[in-house]
Amino acid sequence: MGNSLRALIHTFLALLAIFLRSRVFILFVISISLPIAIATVLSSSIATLYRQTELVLDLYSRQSSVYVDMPSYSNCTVIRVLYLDILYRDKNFTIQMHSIDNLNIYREITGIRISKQMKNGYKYFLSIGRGVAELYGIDVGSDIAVCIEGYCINRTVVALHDGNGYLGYIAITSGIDGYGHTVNFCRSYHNYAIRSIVEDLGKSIESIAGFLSIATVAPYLIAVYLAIDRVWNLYRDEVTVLYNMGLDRISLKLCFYLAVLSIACIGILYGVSVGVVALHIGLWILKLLGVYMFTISLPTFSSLMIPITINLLTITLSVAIIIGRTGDGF
Amino acid sequence: MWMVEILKLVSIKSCILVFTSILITSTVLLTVLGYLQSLYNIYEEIAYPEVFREKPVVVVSSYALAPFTSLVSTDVLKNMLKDAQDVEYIFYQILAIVYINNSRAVIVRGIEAKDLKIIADYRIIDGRDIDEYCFYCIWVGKNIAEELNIRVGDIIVLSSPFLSIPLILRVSGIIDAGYPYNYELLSSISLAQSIRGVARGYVSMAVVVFSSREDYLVFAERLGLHRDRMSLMERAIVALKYIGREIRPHIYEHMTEMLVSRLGLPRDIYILISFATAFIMSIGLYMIGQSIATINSHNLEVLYEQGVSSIKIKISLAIVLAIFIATSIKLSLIATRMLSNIISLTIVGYPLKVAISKDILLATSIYILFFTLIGLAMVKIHGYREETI
Repeated sequence: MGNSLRALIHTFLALLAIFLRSRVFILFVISISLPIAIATVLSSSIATLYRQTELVLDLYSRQSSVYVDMPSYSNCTVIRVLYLDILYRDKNFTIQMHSIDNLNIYREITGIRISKQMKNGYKYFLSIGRGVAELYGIDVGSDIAVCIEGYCINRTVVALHDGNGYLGYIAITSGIDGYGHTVNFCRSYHNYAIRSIVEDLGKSIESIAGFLSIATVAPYLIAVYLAIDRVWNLYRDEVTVLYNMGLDRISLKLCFYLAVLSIACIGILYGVSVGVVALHIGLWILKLLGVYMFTISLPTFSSLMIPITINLLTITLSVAIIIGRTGDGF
Repeated sequence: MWMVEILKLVSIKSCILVFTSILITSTVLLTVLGYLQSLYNIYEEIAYPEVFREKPVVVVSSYALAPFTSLVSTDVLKNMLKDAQDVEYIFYQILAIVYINNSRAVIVRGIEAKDLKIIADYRIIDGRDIDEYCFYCIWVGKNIAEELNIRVGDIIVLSSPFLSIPLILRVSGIIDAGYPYNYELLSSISLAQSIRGVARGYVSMAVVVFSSREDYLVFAERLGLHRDRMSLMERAIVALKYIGREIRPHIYEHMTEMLVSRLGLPRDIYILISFATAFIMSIGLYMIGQSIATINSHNLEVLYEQGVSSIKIKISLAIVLAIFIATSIKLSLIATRMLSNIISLTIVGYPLKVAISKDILLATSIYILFFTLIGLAMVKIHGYREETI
């Protein structure tokens, strides 16, 4: 057992030494290192982009916002959105109306301010946004006709509200059911839109970078196969000598595979290093040209996993094909 | 004649190997650069109307650079343009990035119907025409409607980074206006101002079209932009930077200093990737250049010993390499464009296609040729012996 292990190690080291001395070594390392280096550049850029977006998100993290979601959360309120035709004096216009159950929760979530309100004596709450009220001369106490699908009812405007541009152009009421769409407004303790948009942009950029990484690695796989084929041809004489010395075929094939894989790992490490160096050279050139630049993040292993796995799988497959093609002919 | 003699000794196998290597390298290079260029150009694609590409146009934007975050006062613009002669056309637009129906980011373009008619001869596929008085109406580009299965009468929810509450809007029409409008939501200026969270009187950008190039240059000079630089740029984004009450115009090229303006996409990352990719590729090209001589080293050395100078040998090989590079660039261009049609990549809903300009193609060809020939030049023809093969 001990002897056979020693023989295996010696065989592996002998094959490695031959490989390192040959010119095929350079071809093999280049076909692995170059695409991995480019994949590293892309990966580092994505990591940098994420770091920047984190900075953007940090800036907005303390802003709360409202988003639309399922009604299961406690900090949500259900509103019914309707489009109504309003008749007021000789004017006719369409307005978006929010029919709500609880005005206080709605006010708390949306941040609207009731700027003017009748004190008592109304049956149904109806508030008109100040933007619309000013446009059509509506005030608190005005009687308006509210029409839904051709059916009109008379209501009195009991309040006027202020909000941001959009909220200033809607009406708020209670007690209208069975029409329109229900939407759930929920309170979020971060800026929901910014977070979602930044994440979406990040995903888009990541998918582009991922595609470019694979597109870079893929064509070089042919070169990897050709290089391994040349290595095998190079080893033939040595392998025959070792076989004649008494080493079995399986051990020789295993040693060959391990030698190729070891060099591939060196090639991958070399590629990652070249990628990082290249990025910093790029950074330096940009700074030299007077372009302000941020600090580059190092590539993450997860983002490099796909190109590295593709490479290692191709090497394994290539070795299997090449050895299988040769059969027992050494 | 000596050239033919030299080339006869170059093995077919080595030619195939070198040609394949150059083809692979140029395809990878053009794919990476093509997509980066496409990403780099996305602002221009969104901001510049195609119909005015040939005309002298100044796009007035703010220092934010990214059109989604830019903000310009129309009063300031009118003041700037009050003495301008021969302004053929001016229109304002608002661009805002929003999150639609809790699914993905999309651009909302606020524009007047008459302006949209001029910049894109649109047609309404379903619903009614753009109405600038409807405050809850939104029009959806054809492609985005198909992708998100949106129909006229549907309610859509837009979350804007500039508002604390989402907007609930009704789809009033589906529009076919070509690229890039088919991948956007279109609305009235006033609604877009609300989505962008700005008061009336503010827009994202103004497009000023001049009748003649001379007037355009005069206007640009009045803004403090030098004539010689403008002639190189052909068209310009003038970004206004508000410093207290003072307004300073900045030309587009300086904008790279402003990386992330709130939600702007950092362009410099793309430039950096291009630099780094080019650097890495130069190592590969250098080795490819060397390999045509090293693979045929035995034959070439014999030739050298027979009296053919190494310069003659290298010139012959350089011609072979130049032919290989020209052919492989042509093939790479076809392959890259085919790949671009098969692969669907998007950013903020806009499809990303490989954009290889003539300048990029020329620069890439020169770059490949330069490093390959440097590699060839560094090879020693005489006394070269392969050690193990």
